[in-house]
Amino acid sequence: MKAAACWLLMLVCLAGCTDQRVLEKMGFIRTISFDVAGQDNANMLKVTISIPKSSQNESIVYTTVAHSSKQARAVFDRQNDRRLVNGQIRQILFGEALAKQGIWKHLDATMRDPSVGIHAHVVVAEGDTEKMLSRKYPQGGTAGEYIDNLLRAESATRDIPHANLHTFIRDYYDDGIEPVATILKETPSSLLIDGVALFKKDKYVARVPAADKMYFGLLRDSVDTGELNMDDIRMGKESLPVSLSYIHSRRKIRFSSVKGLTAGTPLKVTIHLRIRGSLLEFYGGEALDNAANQKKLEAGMSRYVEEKCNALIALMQQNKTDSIGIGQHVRNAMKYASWRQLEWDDTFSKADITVRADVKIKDIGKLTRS
Amino acid sequence: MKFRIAKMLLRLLAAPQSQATSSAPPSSPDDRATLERTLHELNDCMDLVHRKFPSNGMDVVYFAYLVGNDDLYRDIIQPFSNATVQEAAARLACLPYTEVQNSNVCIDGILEGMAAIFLKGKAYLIRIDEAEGRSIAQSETETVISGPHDGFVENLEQNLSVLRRRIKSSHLKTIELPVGEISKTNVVLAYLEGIANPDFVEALKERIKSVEIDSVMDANMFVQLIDENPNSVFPQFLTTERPDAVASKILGGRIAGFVDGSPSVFCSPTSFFDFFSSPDDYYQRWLLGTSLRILRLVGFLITICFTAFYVSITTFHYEMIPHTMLLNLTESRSRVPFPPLIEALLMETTIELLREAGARLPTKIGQTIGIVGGIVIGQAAVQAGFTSNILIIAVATSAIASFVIPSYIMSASLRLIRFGLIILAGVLGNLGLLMGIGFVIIHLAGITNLGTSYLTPLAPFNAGDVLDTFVRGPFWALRKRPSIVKSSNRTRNKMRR
Repeated sequence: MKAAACWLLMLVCLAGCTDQRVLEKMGFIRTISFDVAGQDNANMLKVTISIPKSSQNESIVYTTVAHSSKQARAVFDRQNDRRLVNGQIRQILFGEALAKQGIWKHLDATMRDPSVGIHAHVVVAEGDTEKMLSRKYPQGGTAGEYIDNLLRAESATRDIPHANLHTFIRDYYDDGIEPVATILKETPSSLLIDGVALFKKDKYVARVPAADKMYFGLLRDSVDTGELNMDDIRMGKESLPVSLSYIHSRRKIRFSSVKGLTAGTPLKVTIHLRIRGSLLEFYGGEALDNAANQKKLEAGMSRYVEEKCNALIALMQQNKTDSIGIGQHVRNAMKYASWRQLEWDDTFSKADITVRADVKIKDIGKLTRS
Repeated sequence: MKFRIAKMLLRLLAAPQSQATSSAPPSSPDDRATLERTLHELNDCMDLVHRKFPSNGMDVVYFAYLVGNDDLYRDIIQPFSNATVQEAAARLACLPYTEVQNSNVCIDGILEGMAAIFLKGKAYLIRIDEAEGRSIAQSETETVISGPHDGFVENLEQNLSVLRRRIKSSHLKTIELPVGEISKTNVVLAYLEGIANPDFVEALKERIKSVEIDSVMDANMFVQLIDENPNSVFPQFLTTERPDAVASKILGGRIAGFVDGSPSVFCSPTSFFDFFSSPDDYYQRWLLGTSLRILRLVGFLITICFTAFYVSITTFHYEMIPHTMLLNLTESRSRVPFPPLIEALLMETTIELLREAGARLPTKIGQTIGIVGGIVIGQAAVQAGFTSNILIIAVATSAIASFVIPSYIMSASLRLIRFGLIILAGVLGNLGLLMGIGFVIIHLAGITNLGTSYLTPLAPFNAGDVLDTFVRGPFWALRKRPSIVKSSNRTRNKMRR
């Protein structure tokens, strides 16, 4: 009993003796951006942070030029009246120029803090990150909230692959796949998702334009929902735009024997895409309730998807970055020792990759011609 | 030291009386029951009546306020007032008059409400007592929506009659054991022969006999004298005021204990999860019963953890709060001058004050307390910057969740544990909270009741029992009696679906 009383007394007296982070005494960084400092101080880093105020519509933005993110942090801490913490970071923005140099050391510094969650998006920003964060947007709220909602809405429809801190780091460390990130571009009135940045390790090497990001999504993974906009589908003699909604796709990767890959035998890969969707937008002249016409249209769409995907793969091969994870499948088919010997980047860039798309129309909507 | 002396004294006091009650050996001449001895023992009792019958020289002694007038007239006044000595002696030789030899038996009988008759140097006892007490009414602490609305009362005989009416079986056995050296309270164990484990009955009997105390006032008090972990915060015997619950416990192979003067009846062996089931679960469809059970277990988690979790995340783990809520919470918290731990302890204490005040006050004033408490705590405290509004929600939710638990005693225990967890959470955050929960689980696993584990059927695990613990399975699936009772006759339901 006495011992219990002692413990209780000790606990009460010790409350507050540890590393507390009492809510109202913290400044929560929501967005952090890294950029190169400009021409005159080439080795320096420009760091910007945005802290939302509790009124929700305003935020405090600090910018400084420093040698490292920790140094910048010290400068911010000297300015802010609350202790700055990382736990509520939702976006990590990298300027385009910095992303091309490599972003790992900055990501690493953020990730090491155990309080940083997996929800932080990794974004490549085209434009001045400081301006992006300090601007007011007509969409309301702070810049951080706007970016957050924008990315969430977009990745919910699987238009862009999930690119948060967790997936980025996983793909960075994993063999046979390279990380990707979302590209944000500033326009006079808003921010715009402008494609997908392809990384090779931590260096930004190529971009998938916004119009093609859905095809990239199909190649990278199975997709459960989304929309395919196709410009000119050949259907008989006419060429017309078609849009396929609520698509559902499954990706299958087949490849030739992995024997002799290390000796330099080229790899043959076939990617099967099985796509099903509703045809809700169609401007063609021919009746769609005709099975033969539907077949023609499906064949045209399949060919179109194949062309688009082949172009994307050519882009990746050119940059020697396997962003869609073919390497993972190849790795799983061989012994780890031989995988270690294999120069996957070269093998990938020389591989003969074909895409076989199988697009089927699930339904054509409510209207039929009678 | 003091305790030991008291115990010895008690034992000394107990010695002659326990001898008297346990047996009636051929009495030596000096403790024969005589009128003089009886009157001497009971002198200075103004409610004692000594009545003489001149026609036959008979003496009758009884307590005026313990006997019923109708019985007195029927069994004593009417038959004996004009009887001759021979007639009276002949009548006394028949039942229900019983001859007693020992003086102590005679005096105990008078104290229990019998009348003692002395005729020609012989003593007889006749039971003419009248049951005083309220009539059978619904229990106020355990109410059900549908199902029987009767409840036990203070009178032991009345309670046993209610039970007998529910279980009309010759196997329903009752053992009477007097407890309390001065109060001589009767404790009755009821069980079904052939279904209840005889070892448990023996063990419980032994334990009740070993109780040495001056008096017992209530079953909830009595079970604290016979449980195996007297320092634990958890109640170890399920007590209930509902006859249907007790009958079903007995039919399930448990032993029920009635304490005279108490409307609560204790059941043994009890597991922790018995406190979370209500008779209502069985009177509703099984899917509803199941969801109610699950709801109560959720209520259990909320009541012990919710406020502690609030303290832990506002003090240490800001990163766990959703961003949209974070800003509101920060704004609300920024007006509060206390750290979250103090804030939470203050509010929890206030709620406990309100609850205790409500329990002590008459119902009519209790309502005022509710309104005052609701306004003061709900609005003024937040507006005055005394607490944050999210804490009000946490405290109120955990208070409400604690009332979901059917057993009042269990819910009071859980509320106390909450304070410990809040302090741990305020000192060590989620680590402290989990450590606290770990301590509670270790403690629960260590508790036994008649040697059975308190956490049955979780540890030791029994898949069949789970169907009637965390969920309330359909009746066709509840074929066996619970494993905790270690019954030799486990099948209770032979019906095919």
